[in-house]
Amino acid sequence: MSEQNELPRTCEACTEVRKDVDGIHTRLESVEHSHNRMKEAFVKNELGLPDYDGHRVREAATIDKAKVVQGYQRDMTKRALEWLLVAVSVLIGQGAIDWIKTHLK
Amino acid sequence: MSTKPIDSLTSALWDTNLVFSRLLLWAAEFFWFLLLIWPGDTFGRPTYNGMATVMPEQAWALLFLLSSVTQITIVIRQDYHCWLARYFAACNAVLWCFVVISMLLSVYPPPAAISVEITLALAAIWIWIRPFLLLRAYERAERITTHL
Repeated sequence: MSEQNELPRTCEACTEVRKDVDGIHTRLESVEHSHNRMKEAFVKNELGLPDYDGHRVREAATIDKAKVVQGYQRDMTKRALEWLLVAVSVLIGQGAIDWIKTHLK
Repeated sequence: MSTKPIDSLTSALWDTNLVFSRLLLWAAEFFWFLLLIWPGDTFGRPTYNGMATVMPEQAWALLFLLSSVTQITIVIRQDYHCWLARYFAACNAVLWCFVVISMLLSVYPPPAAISVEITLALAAIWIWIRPFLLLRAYERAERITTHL
């Protein structure tokens, strides 16, 4: 009975395995390079390591701030529309009063 | 009520740089200058009674010319937040508001031809006050998020 993790014995099979291992090495190098570049994007903490947690907290705070600003902008837009509506109503009301006065004479 | 119209208007009012509004104001101010220096007594008409009590026609023309030159200078330099742009926005809003209010008070019924001037006055006011409102919004956001 052959072992499950038995290495291939033929030369062709060996070459294939070596090719696979080389491929894995190349991909691992690429992943390591990308990972290092990503780490460079983070501010370092007092231990000299990328401050992932600080970054997450700051991002969450930025998102919260943006939500507050958007809410404020929305409220102000609604208020401006209400003022506009009041101004237009006053104008129409004034015009209507004038029209009634003219037609009652 | 659907929130989409409010959201669209919010985006239009807050997420734009207002350069086109400035260009419209520049064009309007330049046309005011041209039409005021046109030979003839423009201020003889009752619509301009309010403006005429403050300054003569030529002085208003000069004021509009100065305003249009400053407006286009700000647009060309693309520096909308320098001290000149900030103070100019306030002066410009006052200028347009005064022109509109004086014309509205000078004749009755209100002249329909000043609809554009009313719109431009609103645009000038918006250019002036929007940075202050944004500052208030950021301050409020800072206050709320630090208390969370």
